[in-house]
Amino acid sequence: MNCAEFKTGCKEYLEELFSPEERRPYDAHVAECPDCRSIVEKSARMSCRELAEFLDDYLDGALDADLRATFDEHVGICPDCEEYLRSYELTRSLSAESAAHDTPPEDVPEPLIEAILKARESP
Amino acid sequence: MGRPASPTAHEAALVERLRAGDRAAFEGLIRAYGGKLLAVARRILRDDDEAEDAVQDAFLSAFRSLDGFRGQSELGTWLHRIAINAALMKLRARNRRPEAEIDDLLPQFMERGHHAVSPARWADPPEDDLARAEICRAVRAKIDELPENYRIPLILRDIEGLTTAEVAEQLGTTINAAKIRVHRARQALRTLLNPRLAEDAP
Ligand SMILES: [Zn+2]
Ligand SMILES: [Zn+2]
Repeated sequence: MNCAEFKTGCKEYLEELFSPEERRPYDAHVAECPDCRSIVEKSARMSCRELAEFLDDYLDGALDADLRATFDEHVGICPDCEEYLRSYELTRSLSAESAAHDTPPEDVPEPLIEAILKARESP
Repeated sequence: MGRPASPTAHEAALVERLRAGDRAAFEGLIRAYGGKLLAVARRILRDDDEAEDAVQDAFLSAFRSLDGFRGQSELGTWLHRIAINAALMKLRARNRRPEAEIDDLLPQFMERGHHAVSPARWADPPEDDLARAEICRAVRAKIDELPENYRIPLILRDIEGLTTAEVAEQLGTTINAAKIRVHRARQALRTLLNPRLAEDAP
């Protein structure tokens, strides 16, 4: 097994979806390849589910240095989280940007002005 | 929706006239800020009549609490917060519908925490102003598709520009609860936008 093959099946391997025979080449590759071993170790430090909870804090720069490093490390080895982070960040910025495209304010209707002034004067 | 800043001399003079009960000053205030507040109330309530009622409530409550306006924020910011509050009061007074859950719109994970479905690659958003405006309008429409208990926190945070602490205060929740609501709402919005923004989208 080479690294590309390992990466293709990495998610199923880590989710333990493989049969013992299917696992064997992965175990063997991890034992001999430091790069892929580091993928396994890094993904154990933070799961995709955990990472998703930190998205806003990460993008707001509110994570402490250790957590931020773990987050970055995970994104570096996980194409799923890399894409999710990117699309989430875009969602955030489009959501804020969409405010400017809301229906622009109109003048207050005259009857409403009258009603408010009248209500103020009546106790 | 600027952050608090010290009010201008013009504002200070206006507030003095309002405190003195000057009718023209009240009318001037309504004309100056009423349109903006009406837009805020319409965004929250999505009903023109209710929005007008909320704006009336907001001004009356502002007039009553003029003594409480210490110039700690700009007049516009202060009124903006009061209008949000009045609109939310109207919203709460409606027949309470059960709070909707949005689990179907949140990312799904496998047992050991990997994404159950690999997130699609999103295309870069268009730089072109017209295309960008069109996407923003679509985003805005999708926000309004969210269930009320997620739509409101997101509107307050992203459209009205409140801080998370201010959202929490308006909703009467803890800061952490407000933060989670906004986060879930954004995740759900991402799911709603996915068909349009995924690179292999038709
Ligand atoms: Zn390898
Ligand atoms: Zn991941």
